[in-house]
Amino acid sequence: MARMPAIALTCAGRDISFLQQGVRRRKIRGNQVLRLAIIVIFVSLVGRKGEKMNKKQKIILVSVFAAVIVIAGILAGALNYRATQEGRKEFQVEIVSERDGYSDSKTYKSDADYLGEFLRTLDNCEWEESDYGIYIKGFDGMMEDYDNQYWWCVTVNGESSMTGADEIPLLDGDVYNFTLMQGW
Amino acid sequence: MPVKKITRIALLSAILYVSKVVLEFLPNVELVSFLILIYTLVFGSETLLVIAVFNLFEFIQWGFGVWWVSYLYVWPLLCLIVLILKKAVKEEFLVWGIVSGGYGLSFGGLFALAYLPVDPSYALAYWISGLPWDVWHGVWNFVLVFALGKPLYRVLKICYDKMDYGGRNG
Repeated sequence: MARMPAIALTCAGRDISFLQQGVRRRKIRGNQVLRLAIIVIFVSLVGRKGEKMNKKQKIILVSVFAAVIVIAGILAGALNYRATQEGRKEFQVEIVSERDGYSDSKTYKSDADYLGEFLRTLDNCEWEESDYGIYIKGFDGMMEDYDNQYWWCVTVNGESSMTGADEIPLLDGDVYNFTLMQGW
Repeated sequence: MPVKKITRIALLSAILYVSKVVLEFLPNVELVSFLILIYTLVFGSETLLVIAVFNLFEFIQWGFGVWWVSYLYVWPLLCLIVLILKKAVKEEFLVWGIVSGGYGLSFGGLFALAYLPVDPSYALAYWISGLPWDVWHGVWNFVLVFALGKPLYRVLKICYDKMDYGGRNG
């Protein structure tokens, strides 16, 4: 293995000795993998002392980066996965507009998997398709107003939704609130 | 400040701003990270002034929002990272690609920091829901820097050196 700065050796401890002794059968914990990745990158960046990188170092570096990307991708998918519910769901839809002095709450039933699917069938909802799915323009004639920064905000059970309605699963007993907000 | 320097900063920030506007319709596909990295390699800490002008353009176009506070530290941070690693990495654009890719991957998290004082749970939700886009951002940044970094760096370096009349570049 190439020479490494003293600090990398000090921080690595058991991890570097593991590498130097070759492959062993042992359980590697997630945090050890992460520490190894950081050390490899750190050594590649700083430990070269002005020399050009050889092919092996480049392959290791790209492999570590690719692994990080794959892990991040899996994590992103797992954290953002929202299970849908089969069958007929009963839920509440609240519409609130302080600008128009309007507040209403109704119970609906639907077989749709996602809120967006349901909204497309709702008579009093005005919407249009966008590159990111359904875009809600208004309810019962109460329209968004882009020039004055009025827009419809979706919350699910009181919590802000970070996705559009097409990615919000319809679940039994949930409360979907649409409030006309002002200001970006 | 010499006129040459003022003109250079104006041109570079205009290019940076236009590159962002042109690709605004594509989510997390941007040339800003790429250009800031190349600018920093060629022009050094002067890039911080370019970023300041860029942020001003953003403020004029979109007005004030918490997102603008994020812009005030996110882009200068990239410039600082490049300045710190410049001597060690030199012209290894594979490594710069990985640095840029890593930055793209962490972009959402860095951006969400500005929302922490507003609502910590919102900041966390913002970061998590944007993770798939951050992965794409990281891959895009890596590919862009790896493929185009060296040619653009060399062109800018030649132009910069040719402008160096009597050893002073303003």
